[in-house]
Amino acid sequence: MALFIGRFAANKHLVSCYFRGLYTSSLRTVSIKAAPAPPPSTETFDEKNARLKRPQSPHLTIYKPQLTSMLSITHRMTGMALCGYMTVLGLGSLTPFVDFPFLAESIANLHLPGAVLYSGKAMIAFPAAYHFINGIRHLLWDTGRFLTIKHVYTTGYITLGISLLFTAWLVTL
Amino acid sequence: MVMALHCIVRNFPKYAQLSSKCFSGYTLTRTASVLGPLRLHNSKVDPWAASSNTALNLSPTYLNKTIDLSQVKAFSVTSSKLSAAGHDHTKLWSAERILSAALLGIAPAAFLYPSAALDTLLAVTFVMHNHWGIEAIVVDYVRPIIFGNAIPKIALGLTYGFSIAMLVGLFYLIFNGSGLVNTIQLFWKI
Repeated sequence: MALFIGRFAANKHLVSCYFRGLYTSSLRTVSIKAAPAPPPSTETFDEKNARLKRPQSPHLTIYKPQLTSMLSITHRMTGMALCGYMTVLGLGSLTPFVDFPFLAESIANLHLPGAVLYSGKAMIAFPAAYHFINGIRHLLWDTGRFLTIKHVYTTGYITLGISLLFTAWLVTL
Repeated sequence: MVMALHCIVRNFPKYAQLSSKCFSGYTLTRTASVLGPLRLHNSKVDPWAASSNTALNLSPTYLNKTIDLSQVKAFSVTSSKLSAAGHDHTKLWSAERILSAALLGIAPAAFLYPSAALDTLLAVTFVMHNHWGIEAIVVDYVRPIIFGNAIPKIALGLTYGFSIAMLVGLFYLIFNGSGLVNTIQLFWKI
């Protein structure tokens, strides 16, 4: 069957005869009207689907967590954490009743156990360390390096490792 | 079946010519490639590349016109491209990356050599970097399709106000208070 089609199509004369037969076999009056083209729609994909009230497919609830997406959202969340630190420092110094040396002394006078102090410092330092190292990874991506999936995973694990070491070092300062 | 496929594949240039001949009076060929090796989907030839042998021969057989494709400008009628018309984000993007790279050096330097000058530099670069980051988050999540038309604009305005307030507060801390890195070290020494 396939061989027949191949031989049939290879015969130029047969093809043009066949199609010419299609055009002239039955006569119908056809009228064509020219109309201006409708203006292009500025509706985005999401707007159109919302207008048609179509249900949305699940995404975050079903997507498997992977190193790529988890490191990316951690980068964003650590950025927000650092923003929080600087908000305390920046906006806090604008409020009248905040005096940082006094606050530091009050916390020191609580005489918290070393374990609490070290774990607290680690939790505060990790966002800074991780965001710093992952920031370097992002800038390397922006130069066009390490963009294959294998490299993304390799640099991802390296980033995690270096961030933890960096955090441990920051805690000892 | 395989033989037929082989027959069709080997004669494909002829079929391409035939189909265009049937439905129009023009031949659509690429000069110097019809008789050349057949290129399939893993070909690395760029059909829009400007080179001497890729002029598209869009000519009826009785005329001899050639159109140089390198002069053709692509256009789009999809809404995402329409809304982006006239807005070039490239310089801002570059500025963001350069600032991030600068911050990589300024942050450690401000802690190693505490001074009002480095404190100020750190405050300015940090607030700019922070502003762009928060703006990205707000633009990503506070979208018009969810929140309507007014709230995203308000959220963006709040982001600007927040960044300005943070910068003012940090300057106050540097010049009227205990200094930026000194305050951080105060808490870290506990």
